[in-house]
Amino acid sequence: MIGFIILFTFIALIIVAFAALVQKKLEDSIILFMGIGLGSVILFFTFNAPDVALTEAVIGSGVSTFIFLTALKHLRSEQ
Amino acid sequence: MQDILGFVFLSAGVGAFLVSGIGLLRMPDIYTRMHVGTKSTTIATLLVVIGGSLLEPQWAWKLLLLAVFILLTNPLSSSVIARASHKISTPYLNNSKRDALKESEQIK
Amino acid sequence: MNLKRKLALSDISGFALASVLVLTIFNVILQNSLLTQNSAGNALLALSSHEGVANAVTTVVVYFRGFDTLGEIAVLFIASLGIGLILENPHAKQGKKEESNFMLKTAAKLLFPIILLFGIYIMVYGHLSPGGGFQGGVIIASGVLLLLISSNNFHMPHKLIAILETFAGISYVFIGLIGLLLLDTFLGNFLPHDISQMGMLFSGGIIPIIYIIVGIKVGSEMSFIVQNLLQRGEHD
Repeated sequence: MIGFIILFTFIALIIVAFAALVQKKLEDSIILFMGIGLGSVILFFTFNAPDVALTEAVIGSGVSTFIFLTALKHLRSEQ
Repeated sequence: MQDILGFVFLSAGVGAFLVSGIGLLRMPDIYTRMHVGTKSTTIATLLVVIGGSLLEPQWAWKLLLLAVFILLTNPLSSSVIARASHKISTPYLNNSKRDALKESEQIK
Repeated sequence: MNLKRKLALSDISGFALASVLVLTIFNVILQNSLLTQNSAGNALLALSSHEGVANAVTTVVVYFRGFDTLGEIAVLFIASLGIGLILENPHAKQGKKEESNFMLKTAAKLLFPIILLFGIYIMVYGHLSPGGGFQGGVIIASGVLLLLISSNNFHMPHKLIAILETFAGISYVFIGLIGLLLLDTFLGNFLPHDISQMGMLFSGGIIPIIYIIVGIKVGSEMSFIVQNLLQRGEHD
């Protein structure tokens, strides 16, 4: 059962990663990248590492998204 | 008896999650989606927490902390997102009648 | 080759790669080899028990490969240094941003101690459970990010960051040199690390101390990076 959960999470991660690659707008790519972070939260939790899962939730949906969005804003303002 | 009550609470919480998921698909604009996505998930998480504490009574204090944390953060994040989307003037439904945030800013 | 054809080619190759990956994962999980072939992990576990640390990964990261971790935090230091050089503007005009509403301010003040406590917990328990200095430091930096975006006049003082970072870096190297002096290896475990204490908070000799130092360093550097990015965004 846990194996199938891991399997489905892996497949969903691959689909989300591919969707993040082919988006036309960069904002959409960043939001989908957040989705990859959420999938890895589930994976870390199934591998018995709840602390790392919480940290990944903070980093994946908080800090890294913030850094990407700020960099995008700087790029837009310099053009 | 306690187990049955816990399972009842758990299923009610899962049902509220289901309702909020359907609502996210069905709702037309961002403000109604925000309504569905945070109000019903807050009550759903609280129901799941109550069910969990009935099933495993030794976890009750940790689950209480969890509930307090959810009650603190979930409405806050929804409020912040709704204000931000109002600020960048995201369009809302045509048949919306009042814009209370705009009115309060005009009074100031 | 025009752009459209290039895009189509990348689509096809991406699908091929994805299907290969999916098939591999199917193979791995359905044969359950993910759970049975952990002989290398067992060997490391046996080695790490000599240091009296419950978490084998921490022993590898901080003790067996402690010198590499020193290089890693040096890389992070150089990254934050570069961002500070390019982006930092000490004459930034404050108060240009629109004031955020009172709910966000109050909740940020309420939540920041909890986030700080959680980061410190993950740092201190790094030798007992998954987690450790790097993760705890980034959680503390996310708390600083919350304060920065909620309040208008919050500012991490430059001197505080400099003091924390210098203290952490110097004490890392200093502990390593003491190990070199006493036990003839860099980062030798010179504090008592009895196996009978394994799994307790005070165990593992220098390993938890080094992970806390790494946490302080990562936390201050990440807060510095986040603050520089945000302040540059305010007045551009």
